[in-house]
Amino acid sequence: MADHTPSSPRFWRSRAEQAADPAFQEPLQREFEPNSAHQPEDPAAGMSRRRFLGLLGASAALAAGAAGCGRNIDRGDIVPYTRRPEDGLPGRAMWYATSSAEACWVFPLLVKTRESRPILIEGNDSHPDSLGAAPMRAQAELLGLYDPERLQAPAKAGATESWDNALAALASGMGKGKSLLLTGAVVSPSRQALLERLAQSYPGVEIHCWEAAAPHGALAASQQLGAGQLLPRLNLEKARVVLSLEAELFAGEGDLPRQIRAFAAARRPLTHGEATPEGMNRLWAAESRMTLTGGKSDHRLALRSSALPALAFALARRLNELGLAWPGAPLSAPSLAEFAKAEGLDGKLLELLAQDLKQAGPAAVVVAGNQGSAALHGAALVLNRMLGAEGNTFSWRPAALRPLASHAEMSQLGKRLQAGEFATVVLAGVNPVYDGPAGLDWAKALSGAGERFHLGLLPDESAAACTWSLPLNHWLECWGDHMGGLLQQPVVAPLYDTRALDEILLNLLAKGGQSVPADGLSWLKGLWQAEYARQGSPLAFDAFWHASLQQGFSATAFPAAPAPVLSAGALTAWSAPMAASKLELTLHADRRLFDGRGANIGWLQELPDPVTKCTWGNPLSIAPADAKAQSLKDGDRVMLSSGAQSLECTVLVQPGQKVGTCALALGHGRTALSVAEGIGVNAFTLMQGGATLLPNVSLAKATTTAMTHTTQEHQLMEGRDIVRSLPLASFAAGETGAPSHGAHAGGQSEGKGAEHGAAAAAALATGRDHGLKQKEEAPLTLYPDHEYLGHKWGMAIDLSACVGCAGCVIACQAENNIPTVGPERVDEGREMHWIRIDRYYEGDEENPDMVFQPMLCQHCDHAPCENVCPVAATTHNEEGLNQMTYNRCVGTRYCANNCPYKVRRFNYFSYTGELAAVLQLAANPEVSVRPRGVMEKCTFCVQRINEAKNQAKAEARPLVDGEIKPACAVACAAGAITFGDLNADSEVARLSQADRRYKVLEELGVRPAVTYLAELRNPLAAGGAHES
Amino acid sequence: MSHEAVLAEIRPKPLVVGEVSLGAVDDAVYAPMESKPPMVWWVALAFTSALMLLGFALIGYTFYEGIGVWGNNDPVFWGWDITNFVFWVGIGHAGTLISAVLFLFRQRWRNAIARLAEAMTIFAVMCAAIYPAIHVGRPWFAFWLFPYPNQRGMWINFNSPLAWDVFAVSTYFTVSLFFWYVGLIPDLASARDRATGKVQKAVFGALSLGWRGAARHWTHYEKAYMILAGLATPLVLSVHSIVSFDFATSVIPGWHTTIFPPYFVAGAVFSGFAMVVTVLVFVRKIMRLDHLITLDHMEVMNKVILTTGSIVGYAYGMEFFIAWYGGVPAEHYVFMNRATGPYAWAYWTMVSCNVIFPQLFWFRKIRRSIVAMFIISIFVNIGMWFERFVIIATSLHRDYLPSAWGYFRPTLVDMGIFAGTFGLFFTMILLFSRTLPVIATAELKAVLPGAQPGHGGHHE
Repeated sequence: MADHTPSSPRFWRSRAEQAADPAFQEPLQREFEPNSAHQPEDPAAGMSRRRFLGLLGASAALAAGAAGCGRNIDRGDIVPYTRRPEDGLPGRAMWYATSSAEACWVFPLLVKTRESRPILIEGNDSHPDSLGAAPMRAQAELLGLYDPERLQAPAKAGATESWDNALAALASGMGKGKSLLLTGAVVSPSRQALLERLAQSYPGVEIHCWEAAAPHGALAASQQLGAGQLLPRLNLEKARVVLSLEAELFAGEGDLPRQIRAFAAARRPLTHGEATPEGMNRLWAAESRMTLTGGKSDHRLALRSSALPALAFALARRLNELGLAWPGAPLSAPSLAEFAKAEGLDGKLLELLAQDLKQAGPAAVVVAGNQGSAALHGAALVLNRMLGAEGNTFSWRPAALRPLASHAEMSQLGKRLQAGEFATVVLAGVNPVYDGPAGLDWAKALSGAGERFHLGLLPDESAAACTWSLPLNHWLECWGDHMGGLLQQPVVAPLYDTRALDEILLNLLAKGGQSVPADGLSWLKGLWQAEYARQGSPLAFDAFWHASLQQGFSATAFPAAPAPVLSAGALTAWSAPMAASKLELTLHADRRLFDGRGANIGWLQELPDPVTKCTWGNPLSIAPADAKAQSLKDGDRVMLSSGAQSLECTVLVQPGQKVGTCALALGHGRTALSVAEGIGVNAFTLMQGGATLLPNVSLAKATTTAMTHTTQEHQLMEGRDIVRSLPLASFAAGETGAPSHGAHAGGQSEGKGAEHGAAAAAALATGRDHGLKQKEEAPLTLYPDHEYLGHKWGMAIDLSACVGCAGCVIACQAENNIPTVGPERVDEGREMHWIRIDRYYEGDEENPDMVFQPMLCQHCDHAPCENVCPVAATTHNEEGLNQMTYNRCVGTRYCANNCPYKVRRFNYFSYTGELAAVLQLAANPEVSVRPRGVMEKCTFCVQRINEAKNQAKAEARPLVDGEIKPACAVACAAGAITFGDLNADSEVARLSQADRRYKVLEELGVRPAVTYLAELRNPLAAGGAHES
Repeated sequence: MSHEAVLAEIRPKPLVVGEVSLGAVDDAVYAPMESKPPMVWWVALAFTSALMLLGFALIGYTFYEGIGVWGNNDPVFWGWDITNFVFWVGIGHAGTLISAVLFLFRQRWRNAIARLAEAMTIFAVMCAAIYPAIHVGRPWFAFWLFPYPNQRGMWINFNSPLAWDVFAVSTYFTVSLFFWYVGLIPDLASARDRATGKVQKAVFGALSLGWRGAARHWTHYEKAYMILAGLATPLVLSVHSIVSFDFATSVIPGWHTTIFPPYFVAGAVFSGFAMVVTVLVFVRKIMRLDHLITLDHMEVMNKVILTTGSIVGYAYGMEFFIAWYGGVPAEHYVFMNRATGPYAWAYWTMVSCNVIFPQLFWFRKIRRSIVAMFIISIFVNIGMWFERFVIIATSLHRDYLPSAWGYFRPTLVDMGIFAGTFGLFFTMILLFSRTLPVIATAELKAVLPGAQPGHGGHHE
C-alpha cells in the first residue's frame, strides 16, 4: 500500500491539496475548527457561507412557522409575553423582611422565597438585635407554615362552614351577654389598638392574655412594686461580670440572638490573639439544674433552686459590707459565710463572687431565670440596684402591651368559665386545655360556655374542646407589627381558606358598627400613618412606609419603662427563707419547644437538646448521686409525684444536677398533633398555682424502661485532644489546652494564682510566642498535596464564642433539606444532621465543666473518605471542597466508616419520598433531595458558594470576603463560625493563624479545612472553673 | 516403645483403610450418584433450601425497604453484612489450600478430600459474594463497582480497597471454579461411562469434554492442573490479604494495623479447615466413605487447625502489644474496649473459641476423636465469625470522637439473611454430594496401596 504522510493525503480533492499547498490547507483548517461560526467575522468579507446558510434555514423555518400559526388565530395583533412575572424571576430567590413574636419577645427576620414560596427563615441582618441570626423556633416555623395538619377551613363541630357564617356566629356570640377572649401576649401595637376598640363594640367581652411559660416570676416581682409587668432587657455587651441565677441566657426563650451576640462580643477579647482593652467578661452561674449558661460559665455554683434567693440576699449583705448601699431598708440576711456553710458551698468562691461583682459595679448584671419565682427576680433586682446596673447592663421594658394573666388569675377565669359565667369563649392562639394552670380540667371548664370558638392554626387539645374552629393564617401569611418598630409582612398568600386574626377582629369591629378597613394592611398602614403624622416628619409617608417594609423595621427604639421603686413589703416577702426539702423539682421551659409551641415541628423535636443531647421528649433530669442512691439509670421509668399529681417519666442522669433536686422541661406530652402526640410528659399538669419550684416531690421506680432518644451516648473526651478549653491566664502563659499525653487537661495551670483576665490579656499583647506554632510542620503524606490555585474554602470555629445553642443545626437542616427520622431511628443512631454540637463533660460529675464543639464535615485536604469510595462518588474539588455526588453514590458506606469525625450520614431508608406534598414545598430547590441508599454530609453550603461566585462573575468583580456565608454561620448569633477563602486576605485566613488555633485529630494527617480556636475561660481562681 | 512401634509411628500411613480395589473406589464414590437419595437427604435438603429461601426473601425485603431494616447505624456503618462476607470468604480458603497448595507440596493425603474442600470453596465464595452486592445502599447500581466502559465516562476509583476486593474475590472465584472443573474432568468421564440414563450420559458426556483417558489427555490434564494449582496458590494468600486491606488501609483505630494480612490469611485457613472438618464428619459417615476419608485425614486437618489457631492467637496478643507499644490513645482505647467494653462478651467468645479450645488438639486422643473434633470445629466456626464481628463492630462503635460513639444491634433480618447463606451453602453441598463425585477418584486411585510400586507398604 502506498505510504502517505499527513502532508500528502491518499485521497485528494485537488492537486493543490495533494501538493499540501498551505494556501489550500489554511481555509480547510479553519472550516472545521470548533465554533468557527462564532468567530469574529471580517466585515470586509461580508457574510460567511455558514452564517448565510444558517440565516437561510432560520428564515425558512420562521416563514413556515408563521404560516402555520396564521391558520389558527383570528386576525389581529398578537402580543408577546414580554413582562416578567410580577414577583421576581423564576429560579431567583426573593428575600423579604418580616418579624415574628414569641410570648414577650420579638424577632426581626428575613424570609427567603423561591417562586413565591418561603424556603428559609433567617434573622434580619440589618437589625442590630439579630445581625442575621434568628432563634431556632423562628427558623423552624417554616415547617409550621407547611404543617400538613393545619386547619384549612372554618368548621362547626367538625363540619365545614363558610367564613360568613363563622364570623357571624363569632360576632353574635361575643355580642350577647358576657364573653371571654383569651389570647397570647400582645406585643403588636396594631393588635393592641384592635383589642382596645373591640371592648367599645362588645362591652360584655373580657380580654385576657395567657402565656403559660412567660416569666411570671419577673412579672409578679415588678407588679408587686406597682410598676406594672416589666422585664429586663439585657445589654450583655456592656457587662463585664454576669451572674446567672438559673437563667438560660443562650437557649430556650427570650431575646436570644441579641443576648448571645452581646455575650459573645464581650467574651471574645482575643480574635487574632490581640487583646482588647476591656479584657474578657466573666460568667458566674448559680443553679440546681444544668443549663447552657452554667455550661458556658467560668464558675458554676451548684445549689438547690430554693436556696437561690437566699444566695442573692447573702450576696447583697456582703456587697453592703463592701460599701454598696442597701436599696431601701437594710435587710437581715445570713452572711455569705453562713450561707456557704449551710449549703455546703465553697465560702472562698462566694467571697470571690462578691468581690468580682463589687469590682465590676455598674458593669455587672444579675439575671434571674425566666421560670424563676418572684422572690428570685426580686433578689436579682436588689443586687442589680446595689450594683447600679440598671440603665447600663440592662434596662427595663414593658413585658407586653396588655398585662398577662397570672396563674391565679387564669385559674379564677377557669372557675368562672366552669360556673357558666361566660356565654361565649374565644381562644385566639391559646391552648389552655394543654397548658392551663394545673388543678382544673380545662376541657370541662370550657364547656361551661355555650359557644366556644377556637382561633388557631392546628387542631390542638383546645380545638377539640371547642364548637367552632376558625383557622388562622400563619404569621408568614399576615400583616402586622411588633414592639420596637418591627413590621411583619406576609411573604406568601394564605395556603388555605384561613384568615388573619387581625382581620377577624376587624370584621368583628365592622359588625359592631365601627368604621374600620376590612384588611389588615389598611389597618396597619393607617395606624402607622397616624403615628408618623403625629411625629411630624417632613418626608412623605409612602417613602417611609416603603423603606420600613423593605428594611423590616423603622428606627424606633424599643419601648422602655422606668425603674420600679422598691418597697419594704416586697423586700420582706422576697427575702423570706424557703425551706429545704429532700427532693425538689424545677420545671423549666424546654430549650427547643419553649412551652410546647414548636411541638409539631419535627426539626425541633429531633434537635438534640443542647445540654442533655436528648431528642423527642423530656426526660427527668436527676443528680448522679441521687441516681446511685435510688439505683436509677438512664432510661428507667419513674413515677414522679408532687402532692396529688404524678407523672411517669423517663430518667436521665444529668451531671451537674444538684443532689436533692430534679428538673423537668415543659412543652411535651401533647395529646393532639400527630408529630408531638405521646412524646414526653406534660409537666404543666404539675404546675400548681404557677409554681415552677415544687418541694417534696418523690420518685418511685417503675418496672419499665424507655429510651431517652439521645444522640450522644458518651459524654467524656477520654483525655483526648478534641475540645481545647483553658483559662485565659494559662493561655497567656503559653499553654494550648491540649492534654499532655492524655492526662488531666489544663492541669499545669494549677497553682498559678489568681490572675485577673485583663492582666492576662495584657500579657498576651506583649506578643508571647505560643507553643502552637511549633506544631505547624506538615505531617508526612503518601499522596501528593492538592494545589489550590484559585479559592480554597475553609472555616474557623471559635469555641470561645460558641455557646452551644444549636441554632446552626436548625439552619443547616432548613437550608439543606435534611430529613427528620423519628425517635426510633434516633435510637438506632440514624439521625441525619450535617452539623452537630458535641457536648462533653469534664471533671467532677456533681458539677462538671461542659464544653461544646460544633462538628461538621472538615473538608479534609487528604480526606480519608475520598480514597476509599470504590465508585469515586466523593471527591475533592479544586477549591478544597470535599464533594458528594449523590447520583454516583452506590452506598457502600465505606467513606463514613473511614471518616474519623463521623460526620457522614446515610439514608438507610427513603426519608424524603414519604413527605407530605405540602411539606415538600419547604425544600430548598438549590439542594438535591437525597434518595435512600446514598451518603450525605455537609457541603459548606456549596449552593451558596456557587450563587455568590455567579453573582460576582455577572458583576465582573472578585468575591468579597464575608460575601459567602453558609447557613450555620448566618444562624450563629455568637459569630463563632467564620467561612471564607483561605487563599485570600480573609478573616478566616487570619483566624486560621490565630494563636488559639488547632485542628481536631490533626495527628491523623488528614488536614482538615476547619480550624478550631481553643475555648478560653475566665475563672478568677486558677485550676478548673467549676466548684460546688 | 519398641523399635517396630516407632517405625510404625513414623512410617507414612496408608492413605486408604484396608485393601480397596480400583473398582471398589469407583463403586463407593459413584454410588450416591447412581442410587435414589435416602430420606435423611431429602429432609436435610428441605431444611436447607427453606433456610435459603428465607434468606432470599429477606434480601428481597431489604431491596424493597432499604438496608435500614438491618442493624447498621451511624457509627457502625458495616455490621453483619461485611462480617458475613469476610467470614464466608475465609471459609473458602481451606479448599484452595488443600487442593492447590498441598498439591504443589505433594501432600498426597489431600487427594481424598480435595474435591469436597474445593466445592466448599466455591459455595462459600458464592455465599460471600452475595454480601458486597446486597450490602450497598442502592444494589441496583452495584455493577458500578466493576470497571467497564460506559457512556458516563466514569472509571472506578482504583485507590479504593473495595475496588481491590472486587478483583480479588472475582478472580478467586473464577480460578477456583476452573481448577475444580479441570480436576473433575476425568471423574466426569467415569460418570459418563457408568451412567445408564440417557440424560446423565449426555450431560456427563458434554461436561467431560470427550475425555477418553488417553495418555495425551493425561499429559495435558496434569499440566493444566499443575498450572491452575500454581495460579490458585498465590490467591490463597492474596484474597484474604486484600480483604484485610479494607480494614488495614483505613484510618480507624483497630483496623489500621499492619498485622492484618497475615493474620487474616491464617484466620481464613483456620476457619476453612474447621468448616471442612465439620462437613467431612458427616459426609464420610453418611456416604460411607470413612475408609477413603480416614481418621488420619481428619487428624492432619486438626493439626492444621491447631497451627493456624495458634497463629491467630499470637496475632491477638500482638495487636494488644502494638496498641500499647504504639502509644496512640485512640488505638489503645479500642483494644482495651474490646476486652472490657460493651462488646467484651463477643471478644471473649472469640478468644475462647479460637485460642483456647483448639489448643486441646495437642492431645492425640482429642485430635482423633470424631465427637471432640466436631465440637471444636463448631467452636472455631463460631469464634472466627466473632473475630470478624469484633474487628468490624468494636472498632467502629468507638473510634476517635466519643460524641459519635454508638452500639450495634443486629435485627432479625440480619440474622435471617445470614441463616439464608448457610441454607445456600448446605443446599449446594447436598446437591453436590448427589450429583458429582465427592472424591477425586482418579487422584485417589493414585494413592491406593499398590498403585505406585516402590511406595507404600508392599515392600516390607
